[in-house]
Amino acid sequence: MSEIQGPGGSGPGDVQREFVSEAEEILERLGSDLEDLADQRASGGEPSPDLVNRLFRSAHTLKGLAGSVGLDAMGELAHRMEDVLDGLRLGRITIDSPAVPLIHEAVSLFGTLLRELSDATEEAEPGAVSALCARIRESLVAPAAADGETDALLRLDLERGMLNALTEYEEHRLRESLRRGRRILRVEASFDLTDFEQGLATLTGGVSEVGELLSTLPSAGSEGSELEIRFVLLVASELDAPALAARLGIEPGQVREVSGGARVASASAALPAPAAPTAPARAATPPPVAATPPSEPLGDAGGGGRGAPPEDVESLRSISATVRVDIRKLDELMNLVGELAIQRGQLAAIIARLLAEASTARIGSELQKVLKRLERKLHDLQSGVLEVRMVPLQQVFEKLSRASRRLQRDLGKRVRLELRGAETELDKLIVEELIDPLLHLVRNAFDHAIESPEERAAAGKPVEGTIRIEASQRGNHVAIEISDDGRGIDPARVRARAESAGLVAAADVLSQREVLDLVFAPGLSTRTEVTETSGRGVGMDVVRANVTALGGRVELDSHLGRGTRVTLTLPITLAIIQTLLVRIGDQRFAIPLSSVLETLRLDGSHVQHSQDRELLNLRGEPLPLKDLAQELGLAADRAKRAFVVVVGLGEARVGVLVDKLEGQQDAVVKPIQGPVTHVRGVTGATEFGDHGAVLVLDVTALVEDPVRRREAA
Amino acid sequence: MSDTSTPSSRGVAAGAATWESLARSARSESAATAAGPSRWRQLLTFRLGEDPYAVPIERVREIVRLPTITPMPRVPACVRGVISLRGEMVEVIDLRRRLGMSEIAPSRTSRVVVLHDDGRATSGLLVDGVNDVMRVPEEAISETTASEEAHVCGLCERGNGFVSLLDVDRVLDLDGER
Amino acid sequence: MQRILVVEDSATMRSYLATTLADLDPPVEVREAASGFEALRLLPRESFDLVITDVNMPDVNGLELVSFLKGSEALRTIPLIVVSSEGSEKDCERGLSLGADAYLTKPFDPEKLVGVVRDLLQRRRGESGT
Repeated sequence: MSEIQGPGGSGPGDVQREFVSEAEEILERLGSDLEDLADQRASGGEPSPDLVNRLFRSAHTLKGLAGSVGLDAMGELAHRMEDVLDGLRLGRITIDSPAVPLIHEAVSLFGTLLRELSDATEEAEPGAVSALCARIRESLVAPAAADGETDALLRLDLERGMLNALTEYEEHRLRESLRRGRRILRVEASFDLTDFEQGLATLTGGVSEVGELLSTLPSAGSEGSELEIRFVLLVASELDAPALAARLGIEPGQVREVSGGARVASASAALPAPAAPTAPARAATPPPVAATPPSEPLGDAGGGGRGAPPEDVESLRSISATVRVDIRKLDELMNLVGELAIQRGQLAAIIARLLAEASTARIGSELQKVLKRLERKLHDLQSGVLEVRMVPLQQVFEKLSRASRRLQRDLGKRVRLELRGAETELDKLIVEELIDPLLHLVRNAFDHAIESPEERAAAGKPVEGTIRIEASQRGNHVAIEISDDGRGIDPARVRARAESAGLVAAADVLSQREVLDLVFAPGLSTRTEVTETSGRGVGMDVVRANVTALGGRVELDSHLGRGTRVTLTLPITLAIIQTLLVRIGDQRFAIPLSSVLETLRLDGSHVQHSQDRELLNLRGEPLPLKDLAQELGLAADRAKRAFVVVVGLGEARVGVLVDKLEGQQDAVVKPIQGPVTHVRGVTGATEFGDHGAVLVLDVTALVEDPVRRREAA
Repeated sequence: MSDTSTPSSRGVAAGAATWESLARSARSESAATAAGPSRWRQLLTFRLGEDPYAVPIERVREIVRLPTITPMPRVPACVRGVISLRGEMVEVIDLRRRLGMSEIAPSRTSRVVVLHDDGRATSGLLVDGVNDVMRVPEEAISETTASEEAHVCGLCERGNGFVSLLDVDRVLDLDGER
Repeated sequence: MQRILVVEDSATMRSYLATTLADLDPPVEVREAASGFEALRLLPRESFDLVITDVNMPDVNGLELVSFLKGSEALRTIPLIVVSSEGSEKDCERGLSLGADAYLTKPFDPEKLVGVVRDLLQRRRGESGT
C-alpha cells in the first residue's frame, strides 16, 4: 500500500502521528453526526442545515489534512465525501439520494486506512478506495428526482457560481423576492476598468428605483481585454426584462429574466422558506412580529384573534416549553462556565508538560484529544448560557408606548412614537437598566423638544411631532437611537448657561460638539431655564452615568429648529466582552475591543510634541498619545513601546502606547473585591488560563474629553 | 478546595473546609455559651516575622498559598494587587506594609488569609506564615487602648509572650492611606 | 517580498489584520483595500501572493470577489482566505466551495491567522519556485 505512505515513506513520523490523531477525532465527529442525520431522516424531517454544514466542514477539513501530509488516497476519499455533503447542503441532492449511504462506507473505510497507517492492525482491501470513489461519483451523476420539494432557487435559470457567491443574507433576500412573486432578472454589463465605479453606480442607481439589487458579481473581462471588467447584477423587480432594459437604458440583450419556473412555484406554495435561511432560531423567545411570513395576511400583530386550531396547538406547545429562570441563577451558571474555562487552562498547562517529556508524550497527546473535545463543549455551553440571557427589547418598547400615550394626554401635544427594532436582543440585565434612561429621554423629548401644535405650524412643520426610537444590532453592540423632529438644542444658550455656571470660561474655544456635550455636565442639567430652551437637559448626566455604568456610551446630535438625536450604544451582554490583550513591561492588560478603533505600529518619525503633549500624525489628523505605563503609574521602560492602540468613545480619540499586542480574548469581567472600591481606569479583572488576574482597563477614564478635564481643573 | 490551603510549616493541618467548619462551630459555640460566665473565642494565629498576630476565626474564609498577584495601579502602597480565587477577583493587602513594618520578600511559608467581610467584599491579607487556631476565654484578651497601635484591638497571653489581636475592620479601612 | 492584499471595509479590522501580518517572518508587504471595488481595481494591476477578504462588504462582497478571482485566467492561482464574523460560517463555506483556500471567523486568534497565511505563502513560494 505505497499509496498511503507518508511523504518520508519510512513509517509513521511525527507529522503522521499528528495527522492520525486529528483525523481520528474528525472521523469520530463525522460518525456521530451521520448517526444524527440518519435519525433525522428516519423521523421524516428535513436534515438540519447546521448538521449538514458541520458534516461538510468535517469532510472538508479531512480532505485538507490528508492533502497536507501527502496522503492522496485518503484525500481523494475525503474529497468524494465532501462532494456528497456539498450537494446535500446546497440542495442539489436530497437526503434520499443513493449517494448518502455511501458516506457511511467512506467513513468506515477511512477509519480502516487510518488504523493501517498508525499501527498496521488492519489492512484495507487493495483498490477499495478507488472503487468506492467511483461508486460515489456515479451516484452523484444521476440527478435526484426533482419533485415539488426542491428548492425554488434551483429553478432559477442561473449559473451555479452566481448562487454560491451570494451571502446568506443575499440569498435570504432572493428567496424573499421570489416569495413575493417578484421577477428575478440577470443584468450584464461591461465597463472600463479605470472608471467602472461610475458606470456601475449609474446602473445600480437605476436598478434601485425599480427594484432591489440582490447581488453584484464581477468577472474578468473577455480574453485579451484586461482593461475591461464585467458585472452580472441580480435584480428583483416587478418589471419584465424588456421593460427593465428600457428603464436602465441598456440593450435588451443585457437583461434576462431567470425566475420563470421558480417564481410561480414559490409563490403558490405557501410554505415558509425550506432552508430557514437566516438568523439561528432562538428558543424561548417569541418570534418578532417582523418575522411573520409575508404571504400570510398582515394585521393583528398580537396574534390574539387569529385562531386556526393547528396554530393554537403550536402556541400552547411553545408556551409549555418555556421556563422562567432567575437571572441570578444564570449568573451563577456563567461563573461556573468561567471557572471551567480556568480549569481548562490549568489542564492544558499540565498536558503541555506531559507532551514535553518523551516518556509521557503519548498519554499527553491522548489527553490533548480529550481536552479539545472538552473545549468545544465548553464553548457551546458558554454560548448557550449567554443566549439564554438575551431578551428582545419588545417589553421596553411597550412600556415606552404606554408612557407616550399618557404624556400625549397630559401635555396636549400631538406626537407619533415610532418604534423600530423591537426584536433586537440584549442581555436581560442591560434591558432592565435601560428602562429608566429611555423613559427619561422620551419624556424629555415630549416635554421640551416637541413644540406645541401652533408653534410647529408656524415653523412649517407637520402639526404632529415624531419621536423615533430605533434599535439595531451592530456587531457586539446594540445601538438605540432616540430622535425627534422638535426644536433642537441652541448651542449659544447652552454655552451661555455653562459660562454662568462656571463650567467654561468665556475665552475657551469649544467646538460645536463640545458645547453640546456640556448638556451632560451635572452642574448644568439641573437648571430648568436651560432645559426649557434646550429641549434636553434634565438629568442627562444621570442618563449618561447609567449608560456608562453598563459599559455603553451616549452621543448627542442636534440641529437647531430641526431636531435632536441621542444615540445609546450598549454591549450586547455584560457577562462576556471581547478584549484586546496588551503588554506593558511584564504586565498584561485587557482593553475592551468595543472601544478600540485601530491598532498601529508606533512610528517615531510621526510623533510630534506640543507643549507637554505627544501627538501622532495619523493620516493628517493629530492624535494625542498617552503612555499607558505613565497613566497607570507603572515603572516600565519607555523605549519598549512599539504599538499604538487607538481608543475612542464618541468623537474623542486617544492613542495609547503599549509594548506589545497579544491578540483578542473573550473575557468574563469580574468586579475586584476588597477595601479599595474604585480605581480610575480599571473596571475589573479577568483571567485566562492559570496566569492570574488580568486587569481590564476602563478606557472611558483614559479618554477623558477636554470639557470634563476643564471641569475637573 | 484543599489544594489551595495547605498545612503550613508550623504544623497546622487544616484544609479550607476545616477552616469553614471551625468558623461555623466557633460561631455556634459563642452563641450557645453567651450566657455563661466565660465566653470562648477562637483565633487564627499567624506571624509577621517572629511576632504572632491573630484574627477572629469567624472572619476567616480560607487560607491560600501565595498565588500570582497582579499589581494594581493607583492604589495605596499596602495593596499588593489582585489575585484570582477560582475566578473571584480579590485584593490582597500586604499586612507588613499595612502595619508599617519593614518589608521582606514573600517566602515559601507566605500565605493569604482570605477574610469574609460580613456581607461586604472579600479581601486577602498577606502574612509571613500561618500558625494555628487557639481557643481562649474572652477574659484572656486584654483590650489595648494605645492609639499608636490602632490596628491591634487586643493582646492575648500565650507562653511567655503575647499574641496581637487585629481589628480587622480598621485594617481594611484604607481611607487616608496612600 | 511577498505581497498580501487585505480587503476589508472596517478600518479597525483592516489595521488589526495588517498589524498581525507584520509579525510574519520573512516579512511581507501588506496592501489594503477598503472595499470590493478597490480590490477589483488593484487586482488586475498589481501582483499579489495572497488575498484576505472579508465576506460582508457593501457593493461587491467577499464571495463575489472570490468568484471573480477564480474566474480569471490570470488571477485564479492566488491563494485566498475569506474572513467572516462568527455565526456566518455558512458564508465562509460558500467561499470554500467557490475556491477559497481557508476561512477564519472573527474574532480569530492572531496566531491562527499568521499560521494559515504562512502556510499559504510557503506553498505559493514552492509553486512559483518549480
